Amino acid sequence: MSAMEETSFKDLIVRQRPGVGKRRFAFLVCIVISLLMMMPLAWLVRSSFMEMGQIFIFPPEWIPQPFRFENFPEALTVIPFFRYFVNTMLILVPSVVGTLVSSSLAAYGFARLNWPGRDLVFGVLLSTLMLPYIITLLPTFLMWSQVGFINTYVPLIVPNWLGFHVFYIFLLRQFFKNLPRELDEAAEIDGANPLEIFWYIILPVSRPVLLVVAILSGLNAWNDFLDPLVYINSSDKYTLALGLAQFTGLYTSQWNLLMAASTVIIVPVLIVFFLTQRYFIEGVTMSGLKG
Amino acid sequence: MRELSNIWRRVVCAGGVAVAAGLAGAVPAKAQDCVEQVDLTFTFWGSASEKNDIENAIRTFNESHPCITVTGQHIPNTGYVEKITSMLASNTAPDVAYLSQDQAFGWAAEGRLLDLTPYLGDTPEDTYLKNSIYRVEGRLMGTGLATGVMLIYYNKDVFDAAGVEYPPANAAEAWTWDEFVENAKLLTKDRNGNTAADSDFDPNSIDTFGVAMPAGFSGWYPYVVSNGGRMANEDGTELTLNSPEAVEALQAYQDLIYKHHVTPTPTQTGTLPAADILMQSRKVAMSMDGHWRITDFNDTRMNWGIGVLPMFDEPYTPLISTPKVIFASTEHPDEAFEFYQYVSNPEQVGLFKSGLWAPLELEYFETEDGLAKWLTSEDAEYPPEAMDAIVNYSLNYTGEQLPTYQLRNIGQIMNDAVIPAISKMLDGTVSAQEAMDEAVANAAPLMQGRW
Amino acid sequence: MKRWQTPLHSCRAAGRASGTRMTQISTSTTLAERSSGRSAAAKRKLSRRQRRELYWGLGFVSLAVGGFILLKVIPIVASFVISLTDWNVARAPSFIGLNNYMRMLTADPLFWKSLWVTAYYSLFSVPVSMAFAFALAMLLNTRIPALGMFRTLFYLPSIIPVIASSILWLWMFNPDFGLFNAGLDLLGLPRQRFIYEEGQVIPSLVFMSMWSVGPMMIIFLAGLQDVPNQLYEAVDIDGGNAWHKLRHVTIPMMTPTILFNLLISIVAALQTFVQAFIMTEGGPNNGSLFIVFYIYRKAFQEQQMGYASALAWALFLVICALSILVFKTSNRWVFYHGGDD
Repeated sequence: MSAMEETSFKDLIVRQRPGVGKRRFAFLVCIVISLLMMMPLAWLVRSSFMEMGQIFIFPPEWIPQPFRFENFPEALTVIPFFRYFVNTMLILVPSVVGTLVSSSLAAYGFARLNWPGRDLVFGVLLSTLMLPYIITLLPTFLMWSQVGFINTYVPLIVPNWLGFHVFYIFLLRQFFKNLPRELDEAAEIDGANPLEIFWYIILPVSRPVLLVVAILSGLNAWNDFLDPLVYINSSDKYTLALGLAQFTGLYTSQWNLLMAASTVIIVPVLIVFFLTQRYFIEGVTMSGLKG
Repeated sequence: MRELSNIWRRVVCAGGVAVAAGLAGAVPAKAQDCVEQVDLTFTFWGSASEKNDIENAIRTFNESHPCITVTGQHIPNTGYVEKITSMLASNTAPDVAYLSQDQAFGWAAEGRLLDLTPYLGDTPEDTYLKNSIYRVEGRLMGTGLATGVMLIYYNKDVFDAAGVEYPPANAAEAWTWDEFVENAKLLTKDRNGNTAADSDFDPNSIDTFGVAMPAGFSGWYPYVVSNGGRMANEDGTELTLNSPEAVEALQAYQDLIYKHHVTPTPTQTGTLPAADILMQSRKVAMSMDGHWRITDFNDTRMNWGIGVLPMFDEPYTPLISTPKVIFASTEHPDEAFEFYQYVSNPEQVGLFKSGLWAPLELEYFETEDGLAKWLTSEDAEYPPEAMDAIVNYSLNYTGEQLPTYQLRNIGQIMNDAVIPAISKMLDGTVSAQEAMDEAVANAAPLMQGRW
Repeated sequence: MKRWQTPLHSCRAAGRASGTRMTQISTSTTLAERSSGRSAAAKRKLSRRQRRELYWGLGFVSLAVGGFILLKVIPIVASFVISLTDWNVARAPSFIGLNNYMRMLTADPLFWKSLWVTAYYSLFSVPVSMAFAFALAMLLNTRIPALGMFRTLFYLPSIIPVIASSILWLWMFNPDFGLFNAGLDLLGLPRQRFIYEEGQVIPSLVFMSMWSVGPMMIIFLAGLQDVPNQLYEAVDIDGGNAWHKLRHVTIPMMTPTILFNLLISIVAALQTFVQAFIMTEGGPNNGSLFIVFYIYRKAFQEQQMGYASALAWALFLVICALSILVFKTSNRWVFYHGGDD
């Protein structure tokens, strides 16, 4: 990657180098696609600052006149942002921790311990990636209601502690498999048991991929919509995603407020993404899965 | 630390009456006089302001009834049906609840809702607006929560500028459909200032629409009835929306959009702001909407009024009401009924005076005293025409109960057959006749008679 | 939407490894036979070390296996049992055998419609978004400046909460005040009604799906970076052009990754829900009645739990059938380069 970034623009305009024209073309195409892909976000931000009157002008204008900052406080009174944020975090944090714990344990068991039936069990687990979620939704719901956990966060958190998202196990397993065997063997000679090896040897060197799993599962919890919709009854326990969905039901036509509310829910995700994207994308691309 | 231990104490207290009783001083004094402390759950929906008013009513109820504690559970409109379904499935149904029509009747028939005959008597029709009483297979499921009729709201300034008379408030003088269309045309203006009645009117650049109509059931069905049509036949085994009367009314409804250009298309309506804002910004001159909008219009600074719906053969407006029920699983039916009545009492709930709700009982419509408790009270927020357009209209022109409160399987009939056909019709892709023939055909296997 | 989005949304990984994974699934039975046969015969011969690894191994995977049984196996079985009943929540379920399935196949035109809508969307969106993701990955696999920035920008839309993006696109699709019609006006093209017209709703949603191909793009990119350079050089020596490279090197070498993305995106596309829930409510005229949305409506709005479960099973069977089909045909077109494992 770094070699590519070192390629200066000057290199690109030197005509005789083979492929330069093609690369310049690729660069231009990238710029055009980026602009197109960012357009919806620009539209979102632009709408979130507009007055109702300006939002319904056609052809649309791009610059809000005046900038109406009150959209945000107004949207936030309809969606009690702080409370919903706290609610969301109350689900997100234990979910992420649970995912990390259960997935990494299982991945270690599948990657670095050699026991009969291991690959069969892993294959069966992995095949549930094909299972439509809706098919288990109703029975699972009934199960949780039998034990009295409706309108609590328990059904939203506990599955993460049970390795519900097989994909993370898969991802971690791929990473663990590529760590040199010698790591374990050295520790084993020193008398460490597998749990100790897992904890003291494997986890510390797996930080990049654990971060990837943490971000992915955090994103899932932040964005999750159907589970809270099904399990949470009262509006004071809503999450941000659910609160936003509720907002659409009530205010389908107040686009400036809707856009402001959507902006509010997107911004934290963007911040996290920009802070971590280097590790994140490269972690996935480079370190995660090299066969 | 101190705070923490307080919290801990509260948690322990909430743990159970037995524990709470053990901790002297932690129990509210008033509760000690009760034979039994009754806890009730009440689920409801509504906007933020509605939620606020309901919560106030719950608070005053709890204060005036020391032995009963009602806990309100606000569930947003989107998702209410799903939530209450899952609560019933998991045997955690509330005691008192709002319920959607299609759910309420099915559940009442299954005996999951309390038969209120012992409380309301055999003939509640004597004291209530008859369309607000719900019976299912001989049982009395209960009453509505409150009532509301469909009305025409209008911006007086726009009417004055166009020189059009205001829509009548007295149903006996209701506009005929043709008068309605003519006036709507005069009120519809393009960007050049031509009205829809002018020959050089440009329907592609409309600035002010004559009238906004809701695309939902309450928007089009009143005209079907007014023209002598019905949703279904007597025994509810067949949809009759393709009868000549129904089709004529629905075609006229579609013509407002594509022939006369006085009404925005459903897409436009769906994406435009609410009627009060539209009307204030003069994007529309009139809007058909429910009584409950009065509270929104009160928040505007516009010069507005209300009138009755236009008519075909006879004046008609639907009486719309949300079923309010007590679940049969309640352990405290008496206390639940106490609250059941309280929440629909104009003296206790501010929503009646503020223009969101109209009452259920005849005395609030027919007697001076009764009217003084909401519509004519000093702090009420109704326009002067309300005596005609709401009181008289509700009492005398609401016809028979809406079929949505009577047909079995109405949810599926609407979802699978009627709504898709109506939306096709309002999109202008097919005529009313074609759309309704299709609706009737699709509904045929779904019809299961009346309750 | 985590659960039915999980595959697509989080599978930003596989790269070459996808090939590994697929071989594992397809060979898992043989592995199983081998290992179980061996373990039965050689149970006594398990060394202390092996036994120790077995106990530890089971211990490590116990949470995940417990979750698998509790949250997947039991619910699937329960769902099948419910699908054999008539259950409207208000009264106890009554056993009606296969009637729900009969009704589905013979008396419910909306089932077929929803199947058609879902298939139409999947057939359309899977290739389109895969091709787009592949093209983006190819672009990012060239030596251009500001590569990191482009990669971030292309990826970014896919982290936006699906609720928020649905609302945003709903607003952009607005026929009267939306961004897209403004663009069409600018280009002098006729205005469209997008998701408000039965004939356009699915193409519009397919277009929308192209916005969030980031995860797929990253997987393709990882795969592309693993294609050995010598192969391209060989094409150069033979005098081949860019098309030859794509046709004879890139695509064959990428087939394991393509298979992985194909499976994941089919499963995700067949489970589309939020767009219908937030944007179209299944309309217009049931033109976007995705099967999961239809199941949701039947279960939670019309309380036909038995019938909804039968529909869910139908979807399950369709996904199984398609997965098997893809696997069975895959050995004809997937090229496994050696030395993977």
